[in-house]
Amino acid sequence: MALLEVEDLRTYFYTEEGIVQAVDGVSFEVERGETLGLVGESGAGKSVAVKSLLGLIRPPGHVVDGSVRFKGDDLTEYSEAQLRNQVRGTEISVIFQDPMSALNPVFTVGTQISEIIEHHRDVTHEAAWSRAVELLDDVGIPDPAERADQYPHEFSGGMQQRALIAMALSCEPDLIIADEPTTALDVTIQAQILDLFDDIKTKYDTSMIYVTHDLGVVREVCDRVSVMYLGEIAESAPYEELYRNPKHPYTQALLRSTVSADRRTEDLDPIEGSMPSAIHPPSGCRYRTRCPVAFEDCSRGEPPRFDVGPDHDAACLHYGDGGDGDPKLHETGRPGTGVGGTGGDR
Amino acid sequence: MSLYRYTIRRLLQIIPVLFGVFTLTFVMVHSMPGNPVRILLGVSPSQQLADELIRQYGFDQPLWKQYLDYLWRLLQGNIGESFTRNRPVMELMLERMGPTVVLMGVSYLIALPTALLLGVYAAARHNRMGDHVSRFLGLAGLSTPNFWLGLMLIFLLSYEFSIFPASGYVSPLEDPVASARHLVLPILTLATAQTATLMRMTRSSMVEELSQDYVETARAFGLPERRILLRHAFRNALLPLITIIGLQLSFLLDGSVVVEQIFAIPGMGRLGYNGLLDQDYGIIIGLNIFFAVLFLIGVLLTDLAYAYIDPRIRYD
Amino acid sequence: MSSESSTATNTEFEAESGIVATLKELRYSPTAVSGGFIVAILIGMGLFSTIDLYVFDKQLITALLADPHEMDQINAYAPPSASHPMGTDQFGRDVFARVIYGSRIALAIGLIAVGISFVGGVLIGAFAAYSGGYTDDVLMRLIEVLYSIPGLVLAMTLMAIMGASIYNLFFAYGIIGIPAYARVMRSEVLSIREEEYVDAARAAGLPTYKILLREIIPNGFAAVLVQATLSLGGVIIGAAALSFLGFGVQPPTASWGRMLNTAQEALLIAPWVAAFPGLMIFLTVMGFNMLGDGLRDAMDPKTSLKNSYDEDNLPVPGADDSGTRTQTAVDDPTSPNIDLQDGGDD
Repeated sequence: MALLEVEDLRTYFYTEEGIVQAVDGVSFEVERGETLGLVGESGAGKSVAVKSLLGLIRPPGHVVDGSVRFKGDDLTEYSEAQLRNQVRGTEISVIFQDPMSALNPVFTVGTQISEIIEHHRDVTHEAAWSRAVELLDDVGIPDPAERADQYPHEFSGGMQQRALIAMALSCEPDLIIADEPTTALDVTIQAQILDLFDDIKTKYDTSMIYVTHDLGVVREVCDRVSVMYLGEIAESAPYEELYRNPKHPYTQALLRSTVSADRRTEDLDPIEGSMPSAIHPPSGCRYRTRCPVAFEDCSRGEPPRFDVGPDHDAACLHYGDGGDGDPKLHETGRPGTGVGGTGGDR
Repeated sequence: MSLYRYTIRRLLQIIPVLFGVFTLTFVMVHSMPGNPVRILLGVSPSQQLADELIRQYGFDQPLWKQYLDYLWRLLQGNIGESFTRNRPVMELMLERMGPTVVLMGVSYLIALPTALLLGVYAAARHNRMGDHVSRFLGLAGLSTPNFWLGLMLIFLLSYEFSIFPASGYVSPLEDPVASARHLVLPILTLATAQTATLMRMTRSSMVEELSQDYVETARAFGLPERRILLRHAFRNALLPLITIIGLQLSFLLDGSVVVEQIFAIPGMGRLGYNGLLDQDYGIIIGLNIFFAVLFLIGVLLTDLAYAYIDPRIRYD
Repeated sequence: MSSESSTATNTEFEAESGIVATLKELRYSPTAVSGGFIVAILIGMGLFSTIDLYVFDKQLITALLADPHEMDQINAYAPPSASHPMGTDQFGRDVFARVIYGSRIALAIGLIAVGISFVGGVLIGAFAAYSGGYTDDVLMRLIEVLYSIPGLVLAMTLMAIMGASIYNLFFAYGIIGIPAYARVMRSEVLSIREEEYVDAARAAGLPTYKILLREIIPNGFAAVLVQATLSLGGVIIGAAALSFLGFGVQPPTASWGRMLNTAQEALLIAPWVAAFPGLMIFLTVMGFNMLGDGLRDAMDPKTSLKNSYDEDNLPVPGADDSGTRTQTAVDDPTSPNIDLQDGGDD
């Protein structure tokens, strides 16, 4: 049994413009010790999906369907109090994108970390505080005892993110969700934080869901990747497989549009158009409005996720019974060109 | 810079403003129509008596000299004489300050916690029934003229039901029970609009804070909603509120003038009101300066409180 | 518009469309609609009494109710009845007729005093912020002096200097309102000053006053307009308080504050003389406050006034039948791009 099994998750936002189907039938699994990358453009619903896991969606948003099995228990059946006391921060913790605003400006960093330890664990304030200092040390903050007494604004962006990571580790959760944790940071700091993730994964033996729009980053930290498009999973595979052998036209386009060290900008091939609204998503395959190889059937029904390789599936009709098994991408680009060798992103 | 040095600097910043208030008051008083001595002595004073009084109060001096004398006296803490009462204004004010300070102090002590509580409640129930009701009540409280509220309270609770006295003032040092009975209606009158205004501001400040990322973080780490509300969001929401609480003092001071008038409370407001009717220069000066100083002290204190609470302030 | 600067044209367009859009959104706010309704009735009453007074010499109101100024000593302090719906005052004048006539004064004071504060504050605030440096310092210090003396005390002093009359009342309340507007305008301009279109105008060699009048002031208007609506109520109460204290409108002009002043003496025997004018002040101020509140919400891009879904009964599109979706506006590029409240995706 996987640590986390998400099945057919649907989260809708009931806004005045209409019902935003932000997450619409998403399924994925995270094994123990594994890091899953959740990749997609802005607005693909990645963040909404991971917030749904913890019941953090607030009105007008609602998780309307699906199950989230964590260690066998369905978290969607949990009450708010159960989620609060048994899951959030203890079993699953989250690291948000913007560390500056994610920390409370009027409390010291040590206070904020120890508060969580005190709340979830039966320890004295002093014990919680010294644990907080230890954690700050673990995440590579120099002079942790002094730093614990400082306020967030006295930390640099990278240090703030380290502090948040320390907070996420404070109750030794089994799963850490990192929601674009390096997007707001400088590239050099980004690399350091990615290294830190590698370290803590080993040291604390946790699984991770890493949400990002950056396929280069995914390579650094993820074992498996699920590509999201407009509230759905387009393709899912171990990362090596996905890079070498992308099946879904969207993944292929995404890879072609990604900047990396060994590809010059003029070789980039940006995806045409922009993502349609999640209020009136295209019928059938949601990608078909931008897909170079879409055909008539694509508008008929939502494509199921077809097995396309070892531990590899893609939601594209080209791989179905009526499909040709290979979207003819040669007309528009270079399928999978150089994707196997996109290393050295640092 | 330390908080200590910040305090000094804020104090120094008040000096030009205070000087401006002194000057404005002087200009206003000396632009009053009519001759103060004439008002004092009636329609046809004897010329000799009038001349003597004019000399006594220095009205025969050139205006610039009067102004310098005025400033010099103020620096020594002397506001001058009240010529309708033949006593130093400072003395009169010290006598009358007690009721005003008690009235305003108690009103604030009641309005502030009530407003904070209701505001936090409304924000916690954001866009739900409780929020709508408190928003409506807040608007209604804000829209009720205090002088009308005072009259209606007197009519209902004094005349019709004889629960509270309609007017007068008893010092809490003399007779605490009678004092409290006399204060109920004035304080209700004064505190209603205060509470409503502060409640609305608390609410909007809390709503703003509750949408911040750190609240989401606290939720994601399983902290209970009550703790997020009262500790995390409230502490931040308090910051903009503190400034507003200082500025609100202005309305409280205004309100005390009206309330003292309605309930016949012998305070600063009533003294000033009568001084204005009598065109008593000294008292008018005293009224304006007293209220301005009280206001400036209030703003200074709230600024310092702000600097103390917000760790991000760098005092520059 | 002149052809001197194309940015100037754009600027005005933006400022106007912003206000129009705001007004359009107002209709979704029940508070603003009820407030607008109250204000409309009031304006109707004000217009009626003004026309009646100057064109028909009080004949209309006399025909309908009674002459608001005509005394009838025999009927002094008559309780509310069919012929005098709100009773009569100490001179036997009809309270209802006087209440209607009072709306004229209340509205005039509100509009004229706020107008003076508005124009004065906007000009001073914009000039101070635009000039900066020494000028800004001195002006703001002066504003602070004016602000230090509580409004009613200052207004009472001003009235004592100028004499009690309705015109002086306009002026006194106009003056004491200036600081608030100047501050709001100043902070708006300080941020607008940094905008590119102002730089463009400066580079194009427009003189300072033209830049101020054409570029800066129109763009800072929105915030000051909200301030104006919200302070209208306060000004009406303040002016009524001044009349109540005997410093404002003088007899025999019917003003609500003045009516309450005389009503005070006979509160025990004729409470209706106090009740109705006060109630009118309350309703008027409530109307303006409700309108201002709605206006502020409508201008705040973060809140939306349109209330769409019943939280207890949410429709779930396609949840039961994920295969087929409604086929709507698929390729419509104008369909709104909704922020998914997906903080991590940006």
